[in-house]
Amino acid sequence: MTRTIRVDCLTRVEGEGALTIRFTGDRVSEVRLRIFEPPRFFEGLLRGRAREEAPDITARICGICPVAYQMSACHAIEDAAGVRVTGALRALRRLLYCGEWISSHCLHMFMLHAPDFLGYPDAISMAQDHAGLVRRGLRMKQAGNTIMSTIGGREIHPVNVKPGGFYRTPATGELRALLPELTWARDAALETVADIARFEFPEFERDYEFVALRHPQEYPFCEGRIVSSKGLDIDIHDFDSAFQEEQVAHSTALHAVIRGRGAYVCGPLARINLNFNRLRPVVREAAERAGFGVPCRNPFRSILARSLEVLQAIDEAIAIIGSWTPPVQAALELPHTPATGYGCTEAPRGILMHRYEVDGDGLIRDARIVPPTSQNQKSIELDLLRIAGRLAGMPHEQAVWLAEQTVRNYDPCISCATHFLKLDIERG
Amino acid sequence: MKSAATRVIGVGQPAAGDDGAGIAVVRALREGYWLPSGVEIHETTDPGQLIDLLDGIRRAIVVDALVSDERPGTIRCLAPDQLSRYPRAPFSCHGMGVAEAIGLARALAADGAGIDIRIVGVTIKPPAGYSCALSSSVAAALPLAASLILELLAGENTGTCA
Repeated sequence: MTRTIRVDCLTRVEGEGALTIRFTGDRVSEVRLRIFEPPRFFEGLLRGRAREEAPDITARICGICPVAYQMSACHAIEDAAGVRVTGALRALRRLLYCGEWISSHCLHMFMLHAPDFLGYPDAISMAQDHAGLVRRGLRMKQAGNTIMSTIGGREIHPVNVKPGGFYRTPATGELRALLPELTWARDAALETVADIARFEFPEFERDYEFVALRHPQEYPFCEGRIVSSKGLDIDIHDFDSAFQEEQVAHSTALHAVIRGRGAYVCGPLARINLNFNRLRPVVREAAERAGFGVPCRNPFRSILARSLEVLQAIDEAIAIIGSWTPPVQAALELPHTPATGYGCTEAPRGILMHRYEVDGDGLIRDARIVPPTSQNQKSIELDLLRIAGRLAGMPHEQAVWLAEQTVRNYDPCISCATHFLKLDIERG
Repeated sequence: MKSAATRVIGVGQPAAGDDGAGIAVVRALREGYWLPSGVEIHETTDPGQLIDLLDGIRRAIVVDALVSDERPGTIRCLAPDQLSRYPRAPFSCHGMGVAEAIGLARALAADGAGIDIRIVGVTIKPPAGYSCALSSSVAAALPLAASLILELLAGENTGTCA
């Protein structure tokens, strides 16, 4: 007897894809996260372009994390040129990144993921009963957006970032003007951590290999070694020797694996597990009050990790602005050196690796971009495979709900990885 | 505290040909018509911005292009609940459709005095490419859309004309 449960679309994720879970009897025979978003060929169209164009071209890969693309691109181009951005310019980059984390995380937590936990099909229905929560989320998101428009010129696809620094740096007054709203947002973030801690999280754990950047002093944004919960500790230049991307027939996005080991997880849960002692004191205290201990191996609690990272980003943004001294120059000059450069930064969804081969004229000869979602795809499939046993015994609607929630734990951005997800559960 | 202002908000992408019809209508209103006091004209390319633009006011008219089988240039006046007749974009963080943004704004306003929203739609064919020009049939419909909005503002048309 064949039983097929079919859902036409999984919403509240990014990009076009589909999910199929096939059962033979009670046994799960197949889980496939099929991504049919057309390939976007960004790496190809970068060839022959000037190195200065890489941040703005790659920012167009994603409207939610354009700053991540700009930061990884800048760091890779600077790495090839042998230049390191320090001091106020580096701080300004962190502040810009804080804005993106706040904005991206708040959108996912409040608008896309919270409805799963509070039992609503979408944020609109949730807003009818939880208007205060949604209003708070939208205002917190706006606080992040305002950081981005102040530094980047606009909220989506900022236009002020260049290899070596910025086209223009903000006046002290422009940054200080952000403080009152950020101070409100920090209180709102503390309240949000406490609210999310009261959600009911499905019982679920897997023995993941978590991968994130780790910096000697800071919670990671733009710099650090790539480390894992199972002993990986490499310089970003060794990315290719430790990781490989594989083609799979059912996806136009490549699957990334750790060579010889397989699937891994990047993103908020990985970052916080590997960098808990790098969190700002207010965040560690909030985590403790929320009962969030590390290592946390329950992906459903990633929304709590995300809320803690929002608090981290807001508190750091306030600190950066408080100690801001404008730089002498808006950008460093980059010498023309034929070389290959690597940049790996922490996008909201996890590590984002860029590699560029640049020639003596400053033209890009080869480009490679490994976005977080393609790194998490295999783990999403494995989570679904693990949870599928529970799905088998559930009524259709409940099964679909839990499967979608499982995918959304990763805040997947399929547009980045290569819009729309279809979910088929086939039972035979 | 609700503002007494009424907002007329044009939504669309002027670089996508007729998709910019809503923006073209509000620009025509601003430049060529006398508007009652307390009426603010806004335009946005991002439907998500409607959440902020619809916050804290009692009344709004949203002007947008509508893709349907009707003759291009046909003007429709809809209540928010009637938007379900038209194709909707999925709710995702890469974008929110007009119907979703209005739905969220109404839900958020429900704890207060509520908000009266009318949607004036200019029927178009699906945009085929980049263009900053409107097709002749859509351009010819702008005065009719503007007149309908003026009637709604004057309270001469309080119903829905769909």
